[in-house]
Amino acid sequence: MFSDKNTKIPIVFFTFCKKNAGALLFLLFITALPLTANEILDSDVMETTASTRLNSDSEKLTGRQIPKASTEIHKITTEILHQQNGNVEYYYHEISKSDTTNNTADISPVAVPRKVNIISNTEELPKTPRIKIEKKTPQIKTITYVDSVNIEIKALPDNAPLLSDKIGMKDSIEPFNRAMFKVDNVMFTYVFHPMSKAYSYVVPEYFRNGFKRMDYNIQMPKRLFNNLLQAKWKGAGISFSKFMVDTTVGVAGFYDPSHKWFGWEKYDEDLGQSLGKWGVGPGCYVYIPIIGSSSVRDGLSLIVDDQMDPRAWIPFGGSGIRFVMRFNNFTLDSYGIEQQLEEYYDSYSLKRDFWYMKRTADIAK
Amino acid sequence: MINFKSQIIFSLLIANVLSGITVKLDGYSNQGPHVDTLRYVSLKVKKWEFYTNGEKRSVKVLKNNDDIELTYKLWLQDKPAPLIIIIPGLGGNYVGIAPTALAEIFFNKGSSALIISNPFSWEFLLSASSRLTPGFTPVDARDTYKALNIIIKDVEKKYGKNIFPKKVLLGYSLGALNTLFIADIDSKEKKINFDRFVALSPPVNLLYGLNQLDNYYDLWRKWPDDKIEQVKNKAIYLFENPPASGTNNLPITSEEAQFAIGVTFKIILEETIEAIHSRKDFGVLKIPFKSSSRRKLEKEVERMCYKDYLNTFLKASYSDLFGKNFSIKKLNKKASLPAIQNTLLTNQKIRIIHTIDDFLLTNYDRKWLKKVMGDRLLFFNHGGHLGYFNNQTAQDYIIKAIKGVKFNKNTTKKILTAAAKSNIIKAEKQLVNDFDSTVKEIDVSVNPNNNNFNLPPNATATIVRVTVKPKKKARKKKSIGRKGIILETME
Repeated sequence: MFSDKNTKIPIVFFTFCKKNAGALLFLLFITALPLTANEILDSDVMETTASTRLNSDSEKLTGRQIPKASTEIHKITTEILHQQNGNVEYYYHEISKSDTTNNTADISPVAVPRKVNIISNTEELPKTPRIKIEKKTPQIKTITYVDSVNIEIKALPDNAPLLSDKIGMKDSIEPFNRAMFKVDNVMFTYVFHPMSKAYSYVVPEYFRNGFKRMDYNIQMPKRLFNNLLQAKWKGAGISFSKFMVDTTVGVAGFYDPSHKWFGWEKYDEDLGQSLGKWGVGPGCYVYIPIIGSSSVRDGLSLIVDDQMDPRAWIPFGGSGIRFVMRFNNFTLDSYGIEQQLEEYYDSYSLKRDFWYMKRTADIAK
Repeated sequence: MINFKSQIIFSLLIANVLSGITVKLDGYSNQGPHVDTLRYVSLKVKKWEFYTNGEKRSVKVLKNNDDIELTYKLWLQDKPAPLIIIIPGLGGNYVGIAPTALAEIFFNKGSSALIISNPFSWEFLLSASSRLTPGFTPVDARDTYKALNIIIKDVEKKYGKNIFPKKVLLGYSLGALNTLFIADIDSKEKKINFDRFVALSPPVNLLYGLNQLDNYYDLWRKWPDDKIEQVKNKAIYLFENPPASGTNNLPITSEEAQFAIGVTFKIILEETIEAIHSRKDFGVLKIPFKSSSRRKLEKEVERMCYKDYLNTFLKASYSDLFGKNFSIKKLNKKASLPAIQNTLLTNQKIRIIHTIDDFLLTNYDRKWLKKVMGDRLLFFNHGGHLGYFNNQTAQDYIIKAIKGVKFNKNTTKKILTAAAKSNIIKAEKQLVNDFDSTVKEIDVSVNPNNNNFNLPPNATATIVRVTVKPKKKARKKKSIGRKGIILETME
């Protein structure tokens, strides 16, 4: 099967090795010397060396008495601390790779002993597990994070369009509006919010919600009229029917059976929305104390809308009733307003932008 | 031979060890990471009284007399109870609804709760930021740590030193990144000595995360005007009718959701820049700050994205630290999670909860997190970025993280199989035989995902591999030790 030529090679090699065994061993020793710390760390050979040295009886490891490790010792293995009545404790330390690369000789301070107790070593093995691990640490090693994400930084050109140009609102009288906004905040903080707290303390939320529904219910003519103006027949029909049901069965609108029983939604429309639907622009933004955000179009529309409120037709006290009911509604949102004022740095501009976005969304409905 | 067989079996079991586990969120309707993220707003305070009952307190953090005080909100139990300090996400404020709702959950579980504003919020930067320019995490975390130290002293001064038997720091999103950097500081300085750090959905690579937000905002640039209008209307609708937990279908597409997320964070950036500019002109903006008229300034600020902010404001603010060689990459390297890798590897007080579809993370980030955090990391199967807050399963796991539970036993089944039991005994026998041998290596690993290996509910699941060297006599014959495997549980 084998030619003479083939069998000769191993024989020659073996003879050479036998003759030069000493030289080969020396060569092996020399080549092993320049191993770097990292190579040693990954080497099982060195692990064995380390453990052999540390596991000698003369060296006792405890959690506190961690020996100084020389640079070649990178993995300190376990040590039987004591063997008494079948109890053995093992401690396990490991040094991080990153520490060794810096040639730090000491064991990393983060190397926490891992303790293993063997409860019994009798031949009768208990059915329940017998080893308890009291402390456990992940192996400390370097896990490279490569940030390969390339992100281009490019400033926006000066003529690039802005989102606020598309969906934002004109604020031509900003200084006036901001002044009014400040006045409103002062009134809120020192007058209305404290009053609201007192009112809320006296009148339970259940009743406040009921009064809010009554206030909404009584404003049906405004909704009916503006639904008709926009040719929203369904909205007009439901607004009227909802009013009839809630006024009778719902005790003057204190309850909302029309929604509960029939699932009728609200069709809120006002003159500002009707004008918007017809194509009338909002004009600039106007902030009105107590009323809040508005526009030239919507502010003027409010005057007409108010005349459609049946309470305005009451000769005496109608305005008072309206004010009290609106204050009642305000108490339900009072803490929310306070929260928004505290949360945002410039709640004015946020309020303005959000109001306008909501307004355009309502008109588009 | 027994050992070899066991080793093969358990090596397979160990295959998923330290890989983090994924938990399915019960009753969660998944619509993709972006739409799911919008569910974050569905977490509301259950009883508004809880919001109003919180005690608002302020402390002086900065020495300058002109600086305003830092406000925080506190809910104390009647008796000493663990304190959970919440750091909200980017721009999050101490009065925010989501952190208050979280505080309510923790308070109802018997803990005291405290909310502090995120360092990247106008409130914090004006009252506690040493450089006025948030965004560089090591300094933000340092400022927050200093502020927390003062706050805790303030509370203990008023209510007594023993009011908090334990202190837990919990942050989400950017607040989670800050929390982990604070863990790094606290482990070295121990001025507060927190008992636990819980990070919910932290970004790993800060620049990548911020770039995602920039990209989402810029989506509108390729849309026609009517589409912008339509998306805006949808966003308003969703804002007014926030999705309830478990809502099946939110009427919004993934792209629209991305834009909504982008706009939300853009508003925060604009607020932050205006607040910085109101206090100090870094020479970045042309238009000076005027409290009575800001429309032009708003327009100028609107041109800036997060990357621009880092490249201008942070460059100006940290010129002493980086000098002329400033680059966003260098800054990012120090401000992102890998910068504190050693702490993440070794600090057993840290727990991280994330989702497998969070868009602020790359797949590489997820793998890196798994390697670093092991069984201190948990993934939810859905939720995008923080979209899991209002899910009961998620809340249960957050509580577990606060308690310090490691995420290995929860997904394992409850009964040990006969084969596993048999292997335990065999392996134990082997260990006893090798009892007086010198143990070469013990490796403790956890297998949370394997269905064949089930553990009692109250056990910490562990597989222990013990590699032993032979007895002294045998060692002469063999240079490589035999191997044994111990499979065990811990109460």
